[in-house]
Amino acid sequence: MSLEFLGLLGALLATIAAGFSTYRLSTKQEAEHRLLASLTKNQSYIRWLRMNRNLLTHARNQRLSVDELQELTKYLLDAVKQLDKNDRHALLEAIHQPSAQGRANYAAKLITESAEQDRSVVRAGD
Amino acid sequence: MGERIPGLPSYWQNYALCLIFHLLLPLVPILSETVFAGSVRVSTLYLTASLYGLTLGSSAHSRLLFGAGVVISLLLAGAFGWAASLEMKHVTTLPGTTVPLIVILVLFVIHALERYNRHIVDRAPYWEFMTAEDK
Repeated sequence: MSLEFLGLLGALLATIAAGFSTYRLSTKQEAEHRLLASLTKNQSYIRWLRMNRNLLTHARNQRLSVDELQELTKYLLDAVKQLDKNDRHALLEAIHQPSAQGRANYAAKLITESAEQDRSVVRAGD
Repeated sequence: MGERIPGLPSYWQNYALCLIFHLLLPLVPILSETVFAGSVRVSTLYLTASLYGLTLGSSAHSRLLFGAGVVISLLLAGAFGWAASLEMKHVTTLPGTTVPLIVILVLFVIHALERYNRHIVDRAPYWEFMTAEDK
């Protein structure tokens, strides 16, 4: 064993870890796409968005109220339940992240992106 | 009337701050040695890479990355000791700086990807203790 060998072993492990990080990132984004598709197919969610016109404005300004956030989280968790185990794991990590500010930001991002996929909701929110 | 120039979204600002404080500041000792000594020793690079790996592991949200970070850190700590002993013995054929620099670069990429996941995709604030909820 030599000094270079130790360094190369470290580099090899780091490269494998980098591959794993890339995999984690891509699975998270795919899971999010599936979650958004599931949300936009949920008529009850779309109706709720159309009935609460201020929601999108609040989400865009990161000013969701506690009640709005609770209701939105309920819809998100219902949609997550319909996804497979790997998707659920990736998304629940973000939905239940330790920071309350982070949870609100993430929910605001999902509501904005789901509304953009359904143009009728965006028109109602403007 | 002129319009306000739109600012960078807060999540991109969080990510940029994280790159500066978490990823670039720990590399300052390398810059410092390069500036004041004219060159950087192989042992310094291995020591920096070892501590960088430990930082990556301890702040990871994944068990696998935590384990990998610790193992990488131990391997590089061994390499640091080895390189330092060669330098103390004034061995003339010291190994090059390429391997430790590659390790630092790969560790940087891993950490940047992890933080992208956290601050851009999950919209986690940076730093979490500075957010409104703590006021």
